[in-house]
Amino acid sequence: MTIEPGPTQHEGPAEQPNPSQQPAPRKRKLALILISSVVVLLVIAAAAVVTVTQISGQQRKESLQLLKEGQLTALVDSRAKLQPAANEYLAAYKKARNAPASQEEAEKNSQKERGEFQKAADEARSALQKVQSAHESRADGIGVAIGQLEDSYEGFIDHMEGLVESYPQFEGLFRADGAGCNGLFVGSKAATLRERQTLLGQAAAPCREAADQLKQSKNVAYVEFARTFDNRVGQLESNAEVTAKSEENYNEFVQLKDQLVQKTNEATARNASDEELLKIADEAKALNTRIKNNRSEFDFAAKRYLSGVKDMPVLVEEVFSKKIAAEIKSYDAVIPLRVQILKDAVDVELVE
Amino acid sequence: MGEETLDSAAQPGRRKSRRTVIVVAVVVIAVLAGGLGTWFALSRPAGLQRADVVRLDKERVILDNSMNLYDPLFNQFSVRYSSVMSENAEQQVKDQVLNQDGGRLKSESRINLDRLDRMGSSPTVKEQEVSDAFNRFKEHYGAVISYNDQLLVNTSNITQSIGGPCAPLHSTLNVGAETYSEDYVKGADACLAAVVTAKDNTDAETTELLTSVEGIIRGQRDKQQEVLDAKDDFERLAKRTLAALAMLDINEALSTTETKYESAVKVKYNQLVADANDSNKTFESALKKRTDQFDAAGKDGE
Repeated sequence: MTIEPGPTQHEGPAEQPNPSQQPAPRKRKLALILISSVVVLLVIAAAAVVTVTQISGQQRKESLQLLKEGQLTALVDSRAKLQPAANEYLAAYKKARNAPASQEEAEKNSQKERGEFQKAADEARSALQKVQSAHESRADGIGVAIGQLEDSYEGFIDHMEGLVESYPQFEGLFRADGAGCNGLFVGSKAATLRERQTLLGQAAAPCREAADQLKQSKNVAYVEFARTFDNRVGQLESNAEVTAKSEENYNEFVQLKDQLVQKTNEATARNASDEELLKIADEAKALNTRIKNNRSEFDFAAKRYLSGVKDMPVLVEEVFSKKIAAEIKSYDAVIPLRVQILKDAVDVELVE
Repeated sequence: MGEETLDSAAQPGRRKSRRTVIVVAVVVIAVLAGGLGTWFALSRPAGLQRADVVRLDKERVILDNSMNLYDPLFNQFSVRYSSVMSENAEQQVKDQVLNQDGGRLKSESRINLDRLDRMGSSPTVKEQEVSDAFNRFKEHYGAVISYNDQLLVNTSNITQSIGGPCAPLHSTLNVGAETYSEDYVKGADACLAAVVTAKDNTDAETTELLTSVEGIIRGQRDKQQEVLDAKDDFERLAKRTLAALAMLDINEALSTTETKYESAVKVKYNQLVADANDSNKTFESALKKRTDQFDAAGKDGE
């Protein structure tokens, strides 16, 4: 840029004495100077473009390398810390609760483990964030792989956080100072089936409310359990109602039967007509059918009530032995594959 | 250079040599620029490169790995969906599982198809031998992908019918109850309606399964209906006995149907996977051969 004004200043006075003789060379010279300036600028621009491309290419390569070796490794490491931290907390809480202590106290006494788990979870989230911000686009191969990893990884963190957060709720379901679901096991406490139904109903109300709350957990295993459990308690209640009602019906039937026997004896004694006797026989037959049906309903409901009670501990036990184990197994299969695919997607870009 | 030009311009006596200097300078610059341009152009060479082949091979590995994700994701979906269906959760919860966990499988397939397309645009695929191997790979992996898409429809529809309204039919009704026939007919009608709806969009095997189940349930339902239609107690008793006897066979009939379905599906899927694995091996070795050629050419050049 500084070149152009220079020549005009110097050339001006030098050319003035004889303008008609030298117009062509002057123009040519000017043109030459302009052309050479343009060429020089072009060369500088080209060199700049080349350098910038080279540098940004190098930077991109370095950041991809960092994503693959640094950020992804950190993500894998932070994930590995989550499950042990969660287990530590669950064990600490349970131990505190068994001390014995109330839910509140137990939560206080396991605060250290709870804090350590939260730290691990936060670190896992920030490790994910670093991976996310390492690559902006979500449309190219790397971006798509990051999006998929994000989905699974977040699912895993949510699962673990839910597992820890809702544990006191889950653990307290069957405690007398918790939701009191242990009250569902009325057993021999009741003298009659109606009494059993009443006691069950009293225990079921707060128990089902606690189950309803557990349905809001971030952990799918707890939610599925809570839904099934709620339904099972509902069935228990309705079966208890059926058996109680059947027992009452039965007492009524005994009375009816006595009345019928009396009626028959009376009729036989006074030599009643065949018609009357047949009518009594029909009544007896109808009563028999009612007794039989009542018996069948009772048996069915009683059998289901008992198996419902018997299955309940299994249902609770399977939350950890089956459901949570299966969820974790699924994440353990998915996440390493997602990480590997992302690494391969980075490699695709790094190939030279 | 600019300053030199200015100096010469200030001395009119040396105009000729000055012009020469300018011309030489321009030529030198032009040559420099040309050289720089050529170097820049050459740093991005045309034609198939070894890197293109290696890249395609990595993309092949990515797609092959992605196929292993279907299994765990499907388990997760199927367990979650059966749970909400059998426990009869609110419709909103059922839809959420279908959209979220089922949707994840759908997007998995979409992404895999995109990956296949992207692989197809690689310059390596323009070569005949690689192209043949790739097309076979694309065909067989595409088949596995669409099998999984269909599996999602099948699983959802089976869960919505057999795992839904049909489930309580043979587990929660009291056979001894007076109202059993009535309850059964009512439950069976709901189940049959769900089965008919479920047949939409399912593949041949699943449609056959659903049709078999439909036939079995309809047979039982009609027998119970006969009990309800009986004109007198005696006929009712006779019909009830016959219906109860028929019911004894239902578990066997249902499990036979299920076993048949599962084995048919397994055979179909195993074949698809075996074909896909074969095409993967062929594709891999075609790419390996090509990189070996590059490596050999590289050594010759040294």
